[in-house]
Amino acid sequence: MKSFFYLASRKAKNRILEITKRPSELIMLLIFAALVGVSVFGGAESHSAVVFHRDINELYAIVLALYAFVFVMTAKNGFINGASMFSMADVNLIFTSPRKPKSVLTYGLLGQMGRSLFLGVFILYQYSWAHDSYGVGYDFLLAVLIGYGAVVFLSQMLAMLIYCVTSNSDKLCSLVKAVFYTLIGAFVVYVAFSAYNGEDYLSGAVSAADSVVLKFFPVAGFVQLGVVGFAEGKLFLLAISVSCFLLFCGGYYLLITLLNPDFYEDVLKATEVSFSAITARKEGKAIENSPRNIKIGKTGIKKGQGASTIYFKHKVENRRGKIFFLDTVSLITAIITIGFSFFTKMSFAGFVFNIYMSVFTVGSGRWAKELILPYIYLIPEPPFKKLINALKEQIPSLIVESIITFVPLYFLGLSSVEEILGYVISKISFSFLFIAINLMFHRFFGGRKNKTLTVMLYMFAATLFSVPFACVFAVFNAVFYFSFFVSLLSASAINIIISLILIYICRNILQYAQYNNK
Amino acid sequence: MLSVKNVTKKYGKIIAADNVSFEIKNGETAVLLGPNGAGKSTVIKCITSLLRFDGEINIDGNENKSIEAKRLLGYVPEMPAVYDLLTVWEHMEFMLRSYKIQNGEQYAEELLERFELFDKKNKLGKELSKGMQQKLSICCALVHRPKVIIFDEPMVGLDPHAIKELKNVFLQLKNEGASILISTHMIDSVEDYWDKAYIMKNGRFCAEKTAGDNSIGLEELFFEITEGGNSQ
Repeated sequence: MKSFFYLASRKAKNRILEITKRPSELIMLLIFAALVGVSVFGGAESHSAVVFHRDINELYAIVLALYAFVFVMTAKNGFINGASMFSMADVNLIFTSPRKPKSVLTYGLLGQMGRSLFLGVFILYQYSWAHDSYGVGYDFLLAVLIGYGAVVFLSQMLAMLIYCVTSNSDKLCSLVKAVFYTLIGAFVVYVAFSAYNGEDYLSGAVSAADSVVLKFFPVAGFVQLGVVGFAEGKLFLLAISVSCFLLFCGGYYLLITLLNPDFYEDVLKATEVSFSAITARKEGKAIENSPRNIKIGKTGIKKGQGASTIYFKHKVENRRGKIFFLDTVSLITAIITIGFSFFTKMSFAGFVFNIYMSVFTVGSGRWAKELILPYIYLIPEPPFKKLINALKEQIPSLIVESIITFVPLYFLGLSSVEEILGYVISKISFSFLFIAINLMFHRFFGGRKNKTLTVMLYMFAATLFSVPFACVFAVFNAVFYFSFFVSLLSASAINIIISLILIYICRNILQYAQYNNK
Repeated sequence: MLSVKNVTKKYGKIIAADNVSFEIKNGETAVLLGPNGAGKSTVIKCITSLLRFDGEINIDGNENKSIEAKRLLGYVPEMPAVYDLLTVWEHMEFMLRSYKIQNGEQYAEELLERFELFDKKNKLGKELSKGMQQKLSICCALVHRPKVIIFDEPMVGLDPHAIKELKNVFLQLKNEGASILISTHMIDSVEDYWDKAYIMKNGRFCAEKTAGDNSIGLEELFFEITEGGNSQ
């Protein structure tokens, strides 16, 4: 274990040295610390203004939902690649060295535990609203963060175990998958049933989440129990949670080492997949999140000449990538928006949430991947024409996404037809705005190496360029007393004007690949 | 014809290409040699108008970023560039359509045959091995019959048959009057095909050698420049 300790300590030391050597990394760290500080003090300052705290059980339910989501999304990888807690360097240097697989596994698991905690730092930013709404302190958020790390860690182990057990048998894989999804489905049905039969949907769902039944939700249930125990000072709940954690940990470890002591093959695939993704990113290659089994279907682009070929090529790629108007992320966002509006009974809150999520989802169109390969720059056509054709593919998706997201709110009795139309048009205008801001960032910041800083600047720009919409809407609606629909429509027009100006500024983005650091 | 005049490329304070000038006439093949980080790929990316630069680059008399110049240019990048979700044949179709080439299908088929990709024409880009992706990248660069072709490390990852075929392509293109620039580390692989050789070091052209000059071998000159620290 001495060599593992050396390796881990060296890696940590070099990481710290790297931060001190690179001013941009140091600035990022300081910004991170400052944001946490602002979140804490901002929340603390506004404390005096709060006269009423919401039911803390709602927050416990949110924590459970977060843990359950992370658990399902991580553990299901076991049916595809397994999970990897190793790097390619570990595979090449440690796996081939004369060490016992058990000690290698321990090294991998300990490293994973640290990384799992790191993944959840975003939780620390939630202090302000959590404190204002539910009156919780920073110690509660730390407990949620530790719980988050525990869930990621155990889910990764489970994914590895699932892959270990099922990778050699399709039948067994289907069986385990069926059991896994049936179990998850049963919990979902239970919550939905409780919500339907509750006093109102929100309180019904919350009481279901806080019930004993949900504590049996794999991993997420008992980890959330520990967080609740910590928050309420019920040590026996915390003790149950910690015992379950240790039991699961030990169980997984034993099962993996007993079932398949030669686990190297089981982590290799996931390691290679993650390594190729990292390498592709470093080499500036496009990363295609395509399905594992692609149905080629009809071959040939068939249409297009010059720049328009790009658009028809995108259509073929979308068909193969099984993107029929909506990609998975947009679909999940739409479902969450509907659910959020449904439970809060406030369609406008759902609208605001959806617009916030669009900031992250609109940049994933094919045009962004196109900028990484050389062809779009080499095609002998005017750059602006190529740009428009590269963006065209997203337009139908944006319209369909807006309709799918907001029309159900009418059928749920949450909004009138006018309001829905206003939301749809506003959502489309915001999508255009965020695409234009994305383009601007590719044009002016594409060459920046510090991606985290770029993302933060992007978030700032997205907020800044959204201000005119908010101002126009507020003035038209609250000062001039125009209808909700007319106010949204007028504000949307501002978004479209800003988008067109930004796209025009970036019209020569395809003149040189250097604008995108390729 | 490719003409590069006083091209300088800076990344902040770092000069990646320093006042580089050369010319490749129709029917000529030039090789660009140099150690890692010498600036070869930078020069190539300037020629293909992927990078901004100071100086002047012309392709058959057209400024390199003009649409006319792009129509005459073929570029094989260092990393194979293929679309994951397009089939091999759709890559050819995409190039033909986007370059507005009429009746180019026969030549496209011929290229795929030569590089042993025709039987894989319905395979997706992501299903190809790295070597096959490189072959497809070469086919994409040639299918619109460019007059100036830039190869950046074209032989990396190719099997012996593909290397042999690529050498034949070099000869054929040269005989057809194309201007060819090949950047490579494999000096012996291009030994018989070049008319001019340029050796780069630290962003500068340190030596130029023509095929008729037998005073010193290319490999010997390369090591003298790159390891001896001299320039000629």
